[in-house]
Amino acid sequence: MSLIGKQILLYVFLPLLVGFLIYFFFRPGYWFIQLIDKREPLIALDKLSTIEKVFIFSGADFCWAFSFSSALFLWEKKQDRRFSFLPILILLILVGSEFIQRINGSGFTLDWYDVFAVVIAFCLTLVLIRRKYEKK
Amino acid sequence: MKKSKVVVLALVLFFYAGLYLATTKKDVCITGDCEKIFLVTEALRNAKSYVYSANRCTYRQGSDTLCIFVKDTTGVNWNALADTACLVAQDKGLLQQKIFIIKADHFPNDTVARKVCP
Repeated sequence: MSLIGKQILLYVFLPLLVGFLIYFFFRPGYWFIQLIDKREPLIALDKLSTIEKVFIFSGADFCWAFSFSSALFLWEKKQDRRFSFLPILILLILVGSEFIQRINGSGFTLDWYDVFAVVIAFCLTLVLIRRKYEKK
Repeated sequence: MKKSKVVVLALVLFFYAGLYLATTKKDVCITGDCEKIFLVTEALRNAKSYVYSANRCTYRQGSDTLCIFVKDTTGVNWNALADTACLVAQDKGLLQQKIFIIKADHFPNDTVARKVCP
């Protein structure tokens, strides 16, 4: 497999899989999990510690943000030129996607832990992917 | 930039937009408990501008907890809001609920009032 193929697998699809598993095992109330398996959660969320809750609720956001940033940085890597606005655009989309939930009526799920998780994910991809190929 | 590269970028963005929508939007509320919660949210939001939403505090089926997420607003009597939430919940068929009023803007979220509805 080519280097870019390995990177897509590692940075894009693996985080998505981990995020899906978090939903599958801990948050089965979502419709796309109900399509596969109609069941109750394996654990009572009100009995979890804060760290466990952060993992379950913000872990999936971290995974999708990491995957999303990686996909766009890897796409940029394949181009002939660099887009200086891309990191800002990605960060805006990630943070904006959390804040837009404020105006989303009963679907409101804004959580500061989620915002923190997506920013950390973005910073990680910036260091792991973009900084690396910028140096080359 | 080649056309194919733009197509790849568009596909990537579409894929993640779909993923975002799938994980943001919860169950479709047309029946049962979910519909009642939706109605409570609508009623509270219409009555009080500082109410964001009402949700079950846990995903466990048969839960009797109602978390009311509110904007951090000064001069609001949160206990009175909990009383109002009780009345609205009862009106929508949710009896003997445990109400939690939570400031959503705080990090971590701050519970400002609790009430067990009769």
